[in-house]
Amino acid sequence: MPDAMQRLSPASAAAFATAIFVVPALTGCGTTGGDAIPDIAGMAEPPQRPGLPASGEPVASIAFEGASWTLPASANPVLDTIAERLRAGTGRAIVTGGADAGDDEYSRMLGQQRAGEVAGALQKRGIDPERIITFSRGASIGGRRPDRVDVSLVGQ
Amino acid sequence: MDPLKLKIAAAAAAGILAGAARSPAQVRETVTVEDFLGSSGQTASGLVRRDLVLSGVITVQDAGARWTVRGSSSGGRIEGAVVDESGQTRFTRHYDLPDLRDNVHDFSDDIVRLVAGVPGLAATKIAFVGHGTGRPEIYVADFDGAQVQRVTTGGHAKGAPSIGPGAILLAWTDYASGFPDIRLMDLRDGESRVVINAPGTNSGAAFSPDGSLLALSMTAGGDSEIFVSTITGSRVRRLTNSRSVEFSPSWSPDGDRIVFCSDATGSPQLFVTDIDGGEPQRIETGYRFCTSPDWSPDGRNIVFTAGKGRKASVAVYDMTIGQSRNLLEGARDPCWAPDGRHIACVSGQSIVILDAVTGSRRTLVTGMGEVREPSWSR
Repeated sequence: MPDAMQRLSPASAAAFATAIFVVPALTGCGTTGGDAIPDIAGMAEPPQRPGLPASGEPVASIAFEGASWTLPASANPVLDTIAERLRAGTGRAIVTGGADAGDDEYSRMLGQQRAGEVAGALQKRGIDPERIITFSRGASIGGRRPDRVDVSLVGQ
Repeated sequence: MDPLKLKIAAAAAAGILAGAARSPAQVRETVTVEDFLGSSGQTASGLVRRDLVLSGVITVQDAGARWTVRGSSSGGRIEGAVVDESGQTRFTRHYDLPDLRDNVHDFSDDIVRLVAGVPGLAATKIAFVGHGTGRPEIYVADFDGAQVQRVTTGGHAKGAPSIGPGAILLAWTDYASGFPDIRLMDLRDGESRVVINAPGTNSGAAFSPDGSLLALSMTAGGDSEIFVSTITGSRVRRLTNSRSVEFSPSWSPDGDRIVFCSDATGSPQLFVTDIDGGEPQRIETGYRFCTSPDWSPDGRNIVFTAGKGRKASVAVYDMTIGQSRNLLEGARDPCWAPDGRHIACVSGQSIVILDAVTGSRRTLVTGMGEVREPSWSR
């Protein structure tokens, strides 16, 4: 059997599972899993999302066309209003992307790209990026038009 | 020839990509499975026959076969033996897992490996998203569609399951927190925990061939990029860096490269990148919309969804000749079996198993509402 066809033995997979689930010191994300979990060069510890609710007071919805993530010109007055409200308070914006792009994973990540565009537009309006939380619900965002980004405010 | 094709051709010449799918003209091995002795012998021998037929590489016949399988089974355990045409016993083995079906599957895989020289499928499992409860949950089925088990609860959004080597670990995109996190489960006891909850969207995790790493989409500066992570999520590294949407990574069998989708050209196309870095190389599939790539275990082919909606089809790109061909119209979300021959994919509201050599297919699961994103353990 060529090397490329070699498979991890169930015993090795079980060792990984034990390192993740059984080692008592492990709690939460970002743990190493001990020596059983290999690493590759250039890796770094990832950031963690702050603990927040995934929804808040709905403020606006911005529609996107087709599979585009380019902000439509019609979004500018909406973004101006959101930025104004954020500047007036101390809360955060929850920016939820959606898409129905013909593939589940493409929809999830296209929704993220759209949410990132909205976040970038709010930053250009002077909003601290720490106050903007983006994520995607892809096609599961619901509603009649999944190709949109919803913005809500929390802690205002 | 572009650099990617040159690299693949060189790898093929060096034998790295050996293990080509068999041609339809290739003669199947023949096996006779005698009725097993013992209290559960009838059931066991019947299940072994079924496993061997479903392997797609063995013809089971009542008598006169090149190989003969004998055994006895009591209380779920099996004592099995395989005899060749000269009458020589090639192996005997005792199978004593608690469940009869697990013993049958292990015995069947041993037979397939000996007789046909390819990995067996009987002990493998297929994970997928189903709506049997009316809400999205992850299910795990045996390769023959039996013992379909729901392994998640909660009814919140879930997607992109990936089942690891040996069907011990399962990773998926989980919205239990309201945000898309990567959650990992030990399938032996159902314990699970979030391993990646970076800001933005974490999705599409795929186990490396040795099960030690995950490739996935994460967010960097607002953009979707391909990352590699330890399976605990403790450390990550970015592999791509572009303004476009990168998603759906799948590992080469040697673990050195990753195929993924990018819409950098305006619609999703397949690209390959080295895990050590370098400029991704586009694969010219000939299709305008390509998603859900899965690299075959023999390294030779990449199966993917071509097109979308009603026009979607499962297609395969042969990396040694640089050409694609359609395998199944009206189907999507394909993934390879460990034998590099069978493919699980979604057709309508069913998960179907397609034989890429003969074109034959069977339904794995149906009647669970919308099903999607199957993943086959290796």
